[in-house]
Amino acid sequence: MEDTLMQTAFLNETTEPAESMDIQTIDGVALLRLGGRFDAHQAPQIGTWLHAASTRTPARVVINLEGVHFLDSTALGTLVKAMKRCRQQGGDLRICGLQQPVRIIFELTRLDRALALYDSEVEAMQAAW
Amino acid sequence: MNSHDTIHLDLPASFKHLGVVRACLAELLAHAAMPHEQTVYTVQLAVHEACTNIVEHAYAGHPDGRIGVTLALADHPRHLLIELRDTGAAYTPQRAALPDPHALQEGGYGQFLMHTLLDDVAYIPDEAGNTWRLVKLLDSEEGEPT
Repeated sequence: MEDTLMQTAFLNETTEPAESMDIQTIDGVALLRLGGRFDAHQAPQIGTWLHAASTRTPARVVINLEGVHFLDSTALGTLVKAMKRCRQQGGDLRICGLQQPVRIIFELTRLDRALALYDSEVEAMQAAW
Repeated sequence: MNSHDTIHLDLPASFKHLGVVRACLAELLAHAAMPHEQTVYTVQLAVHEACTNIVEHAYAGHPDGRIGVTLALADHPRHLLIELRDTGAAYTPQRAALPDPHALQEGGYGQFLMHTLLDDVAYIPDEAGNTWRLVKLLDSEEGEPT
């Protein structure tokens, strides 16, 4: 029920969906799989979902970007903000599935050293929290 | 500059239309025999960041704003010239230094990316509006950002 309410609130606050979003909760971990672009246009709605997902304690969130083909600095800021909030809530935000060329923005900004990046969703979900 | 390799666009200044610029860039670079996926992507990203700046700062989200875009291939040396024009508020460019990754800043990366991914970035405000003039050299590019 909690998840349903969270998702409903999220959808009601947005005007245009991302090209592809799949939301699940598995063993207390909120999992978001994104497809298409994640940029300034989609960032507000994704940020809203991330904010809702990070209200739990501990806030454990995995975002799978395997299907994302474009990601800009606004999206990057959205991920950093969510990661900080998750850590404040005793959890973390884990990012997985980064494909080239999307990965380059994390490397150029060196945020690949500060954010929790995993190659696969399985690794991100199963690593010890 | 060959007029056959020049594209002019006039777009609403909104985030949802910026994909048009990225698509045109990909098409023009394909014509320039620039097959490196990474090169095309980094140019798209840098230009997208400049357009985002216009939407956020020049027009501050005002729905009636427009962005005039010129994309042109030119020689001596071979390069891609991108001009973005707006009639919004003038902008004070921020420093382009890399934010400290461990400071976990939530913004300030766009200017850094533009200057890192392009060979020249100029911002020219005048009475008629503001112009971003961006240059990407093509011949020296091997697919990795310089």
